[in-house]
Amino acid sequence: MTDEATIINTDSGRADGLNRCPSCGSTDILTQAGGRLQCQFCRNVFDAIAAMPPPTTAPILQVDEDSAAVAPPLETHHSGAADISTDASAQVTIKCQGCGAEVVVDTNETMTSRCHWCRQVLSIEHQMPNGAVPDILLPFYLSKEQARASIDQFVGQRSFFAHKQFKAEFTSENIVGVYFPYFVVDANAKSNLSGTAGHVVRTYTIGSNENRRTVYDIDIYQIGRNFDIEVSGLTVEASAERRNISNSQNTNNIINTIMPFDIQNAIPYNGNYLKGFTSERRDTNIDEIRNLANTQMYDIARTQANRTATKYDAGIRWENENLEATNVTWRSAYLPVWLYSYLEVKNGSQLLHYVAVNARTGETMGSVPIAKTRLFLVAAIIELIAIPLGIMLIVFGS
Amino acid sequence: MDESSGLAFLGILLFLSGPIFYAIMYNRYRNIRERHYHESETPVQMNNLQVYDKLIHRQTRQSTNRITGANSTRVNGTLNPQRKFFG
Ligand SMILES: [Zn+2]
Ligand SMILES: [Zn+2]
Repeated sequence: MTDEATIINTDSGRADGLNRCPSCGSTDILTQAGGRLQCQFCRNVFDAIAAMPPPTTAPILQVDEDSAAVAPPLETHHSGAADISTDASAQVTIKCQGCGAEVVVDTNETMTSRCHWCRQVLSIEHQMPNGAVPDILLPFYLSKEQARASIDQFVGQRSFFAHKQFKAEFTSENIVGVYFPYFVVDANAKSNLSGTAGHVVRTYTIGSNENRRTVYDIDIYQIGRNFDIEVSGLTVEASAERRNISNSQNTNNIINTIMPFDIQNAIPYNGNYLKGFTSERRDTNIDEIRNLANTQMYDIARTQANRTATKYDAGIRWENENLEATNVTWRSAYLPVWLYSYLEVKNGSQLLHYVAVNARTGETMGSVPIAKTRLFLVAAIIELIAIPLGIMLIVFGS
Repeated sequence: MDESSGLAFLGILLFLSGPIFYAIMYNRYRNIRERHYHESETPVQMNNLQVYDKLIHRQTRQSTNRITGANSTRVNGTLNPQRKFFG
């Protein structure tokens, strides 16, 4: 699509280490229900936007000198969405500003760590080449208790055919708050679709006795739709593992289902929001999912076109679909999910079940292991009752 | 559809009621077909719409109420969709 992109620097300008309460200076900060930060020492409630120091550098627009004469690049990449450097280490050594000790943080596992010596909380604040720090994030809006209630309800409504061992072991107590990595795509595009559409004008019966049948008169139209679309906040998983949906080994489709998020409320990355949660590091570059995002844009454009052609009750056959992007912006994001996991082991194979709650919208989806023998037996009983009834109806009907 | 063929259809549906019940419950517990509906759930604004609709001809006495090759509900950008039901 494009080789050159305009880069917007979104790095916080903060150094890794102590990200303090603006009131008392403590680093023991947690997200409270509603998505605001609370100092665990002085109970001060605040938002990182207000607490953030003014950026040390204004956003830099890096324009390649050679391409300055030609048309500006189609794509804009925020710097947190930059390609992952293959030799970048996931280990970051932070020098604690409190006591001078060096603390190693494995960004595959966590973005925050307590200093072993002075017990203050250290966090990763600067963008690094391994994809661990995104441009933006959405704070956890739902508390753990709210998420537990949703999960309990979801599982409770699926109790009768749930696997016995699962029922015995289920507890929403150990759910974890996870920031999953996503790409967020905003795009403007010119869309053009054309095709053939049908509208049923008459439904009637022809023939007599044995040959009686229902037929339709259909008006056939040639149709075209030309429009601009402005897509804001298309989200795609930025983790190869999470994009892998294999129903025999994982239930990643569950996590996929709880999108969308209210991306319009996202805020610049700030390590304070990650305290108390886990996160998964981005392992995907824009090039790897540009095609997927592009295909999804086509789907969006087609859906928009369909909405302008609802009178065609006999269907539409789109024959030409064109989508020409005029500008595309890529950002990386951490989006908050409350996650319950359960590993089902059955004769050597394993299946990881999830129940997930979108920690912004509350949308809940899950996979509950089934007691298959029980379900089969009940289905068989229903079948045994239904067959004689079916025979009766068919005999009556003929 | 007349009355007698309607009854026969219901009869056949009853024959399938065991498998149908199994499939509905399986889906309710496992949700393997659930996904994010990006095509309709992504915020999008449409501007400068131009439409073109030209009647070509009327097809009479068609045995189906759908045109051939209708494809407007197709979605291509899903993540490896799995249609497996009884796994
Ligand atoms: Zn404080
Ligand atoms: Zn220290």
